[in-house]
Amino acid sequence: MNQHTVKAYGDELNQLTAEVARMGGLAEAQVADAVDSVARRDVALARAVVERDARLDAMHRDIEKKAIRLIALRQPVASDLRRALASMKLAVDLERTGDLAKNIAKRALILAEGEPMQPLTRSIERMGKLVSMRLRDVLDAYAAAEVDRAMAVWNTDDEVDEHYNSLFRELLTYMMGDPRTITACTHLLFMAKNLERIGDHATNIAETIYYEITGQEFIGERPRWNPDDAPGADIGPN
Amino acid sequence: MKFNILRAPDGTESSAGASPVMAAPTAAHAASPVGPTKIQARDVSVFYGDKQALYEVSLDIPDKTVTALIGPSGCGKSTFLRTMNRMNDTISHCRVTGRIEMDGEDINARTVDPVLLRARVGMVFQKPNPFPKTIYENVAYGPRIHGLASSKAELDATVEASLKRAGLWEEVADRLHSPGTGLSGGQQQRLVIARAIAVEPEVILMDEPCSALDPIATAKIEELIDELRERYCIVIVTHSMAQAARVSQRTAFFHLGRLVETGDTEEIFTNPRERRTLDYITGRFG
Repeated sequence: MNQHTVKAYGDELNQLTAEVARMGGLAEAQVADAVDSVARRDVALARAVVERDARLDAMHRDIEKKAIRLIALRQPVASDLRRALASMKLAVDLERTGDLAKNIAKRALILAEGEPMQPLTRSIERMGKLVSMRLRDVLDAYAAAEVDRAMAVWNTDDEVDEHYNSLFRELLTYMMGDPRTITACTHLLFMAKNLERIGDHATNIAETIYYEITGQEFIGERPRWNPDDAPGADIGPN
Repeated sequence: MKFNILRAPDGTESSAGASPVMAAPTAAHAASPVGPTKIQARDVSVFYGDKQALYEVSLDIPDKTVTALIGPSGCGKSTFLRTMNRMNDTISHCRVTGRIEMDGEDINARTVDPVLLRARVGMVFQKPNPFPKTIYENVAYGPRIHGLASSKAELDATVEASLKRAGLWEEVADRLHSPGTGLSGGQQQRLVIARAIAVEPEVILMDEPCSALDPIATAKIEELIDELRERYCIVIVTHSMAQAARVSQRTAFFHLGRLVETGDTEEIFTNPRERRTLDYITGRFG
């Protein structure tokens, strides 16, 4: 893309994109650390995740402020306008992602006080790795402005749903087997739900990238994992 | 009717059919419907002596619509605008080739009187240019020389209606016989528009009509353009991209004497097809 005639305008747009990428990096780290804190029963790490969330909130406000300023002062159109709008939308998704990571860390703190539940936390870890990877892929796609890469993330959201559903069944089996695990399993279930929603934010981001680059609204039916096709479907959550 | 020399004999709009040049407006733009084709330009080239200023421009201008012509200085947009009421005839070394039809008739045909053509195709310039006469006389001049009013009362009514339509009546009703040049810049521009519409034109060409005006006077002209759109085919040349986006339904982008892209204004300003258009509207012209 050619340079803007007014260089400062181009610089401001680039700065906005760079800040979203930075915010994405932090959100990604928050998710990975939150999942690690669950797997390793690492109280210090969980606390760090909870504390760091304020930084994501501040970055979100900052990006929004800068985007509003750019829209007011530069009146961007076409691809520039989409870039400014996309930065605001991504900041919202990343801020929500951070909130969900914080929530996982808070639950990790509670779980750390009880008995270890190795096989279950390992399942959370696996799902966490998958979701982190998708978040990283979609943010890489944003930084590189690659539609295909973003769409690859969008097209595979059913993997996360599938993971979530199998974890749901696993937890249910545990709780039925030993009601004393209900408290811990409920926390784990919320963690799984949080991870699933982080996955949804990653697909939102993919849609935003698609719009930013192509100028077309993304219209498509997301591949949904159908619980009716799976064994034990009668106890699936959705 | 007095100005029917160019109309198709059967009164139909002979050029309203499908055009290969300008696609039909999209359904998404239904909120501001685009009228049938009023002016059809085909392979229009303009030469000033040896220098070619415009290269084979083909463009359909729809009726009851504002079409904005945008592009950097020297891109040919004003040159193209001037071909539509044969203003280039007045420049001795200027030559126009190609065909321009209004309602299906060649406006460059030998049988067409350019004076009558210009009554049908009015023009508003960058700088307001009222005659050094009274406000009343400025507006009454056209109808009088074209014999559009048979009595003083009829002429008074035409002057009042034109000033009202130009949104100027309330500001000048009590001083119709003061000089038009005593008005403010924005008022003068609206006076000139009143003068143009007094002869019941079908097309109004505007060449940067707001570039000499402050933002409030500009807003009034833009509001006026939006109202006039219901009755006239309007073509506006503007350097202000924001103005093109605000007032027009169709936009044509010119560069280096060529028509690069044309389409619904909404499309041009959100997702243009051509790279050069994108570069221009986003301020990336190198």
